[in-house]
Amino acid sequence: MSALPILVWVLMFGPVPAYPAPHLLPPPHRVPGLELDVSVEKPRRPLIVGEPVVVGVRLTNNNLRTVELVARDGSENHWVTFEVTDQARRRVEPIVPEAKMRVTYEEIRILSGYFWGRTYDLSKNFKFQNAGRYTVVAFYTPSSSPNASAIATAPVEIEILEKR
Amino acid sequence: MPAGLSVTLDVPTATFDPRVHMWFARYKKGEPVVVGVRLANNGDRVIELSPLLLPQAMWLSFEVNGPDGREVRFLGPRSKIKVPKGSIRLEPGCFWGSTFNLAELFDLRKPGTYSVRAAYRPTGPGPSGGFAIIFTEEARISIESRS
Repeated sequence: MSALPILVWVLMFGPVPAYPAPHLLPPPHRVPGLELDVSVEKPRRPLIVGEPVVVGVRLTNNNLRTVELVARDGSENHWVTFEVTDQARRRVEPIVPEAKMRVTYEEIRILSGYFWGRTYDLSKNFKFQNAGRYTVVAFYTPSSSPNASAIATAPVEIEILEKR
Repeated sequence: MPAGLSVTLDVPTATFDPRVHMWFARYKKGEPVVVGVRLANNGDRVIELSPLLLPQAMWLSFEVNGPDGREVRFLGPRSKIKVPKGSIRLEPGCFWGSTFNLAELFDLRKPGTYSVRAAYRPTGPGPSGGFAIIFTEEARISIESRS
């Protein structure tokens, strides 16, 4: 790859930022056929051991047209599962295997530029017994996905602090 | 406000300073300053909301003050909008919102620190119906000149 475009960028806008920069949301992953980006929102502040670990699974429409999520096969078939690893990269075993988007209405229309999502208290699904950094990945399976394959989000890191 | 509705100004690149209870983010002059406005249902009943979230139009407005403390002019676009039919049904535990590039909406060319917060009026152009305007936490956005 030619270095010229990078050189032009650096001259025009300054150094290219290293990615991922701290505090940036991770790059969202796209749902094929749905034209939605899926990402995990981590808690806005470090948590304390024993606190609820609430994360959001966000579906963002970055396209020009409205996206409709239709619950074709039943209104509760938008599945979300999570994978949590601790700072030693060991998998934290789930207490409850799966969560649902629990969409009880027929469809969700996400206009261009808008996002929609749902929050989950992961402490109900996983035991966060120790302080430390945990990595969370969500797998989203929309009911309207033709092959019903799950989309993994980019991992996000959650910091849990000791009680004082 | 509708019971359980919370409104958050989401600045993805910001860090929180607990001493002053405020978010801080830094940008180079000319960079996009993308923020999200996130409406969440933390209650136990469905909340119905307007399906439009446009800046400085009926439901949502940003309050931006410049380094000199003065209000920063909204650049637009201002669009004439019809009050939309229908609503967003926000179920308990769900959230909804949109992102905005404040560098396109407001004149943020002057280097310095800007304070930003958003205000959400649940009933839009209609009578308040007893619902108060909901203000988000304030974020401080620092615009640095390119050196």
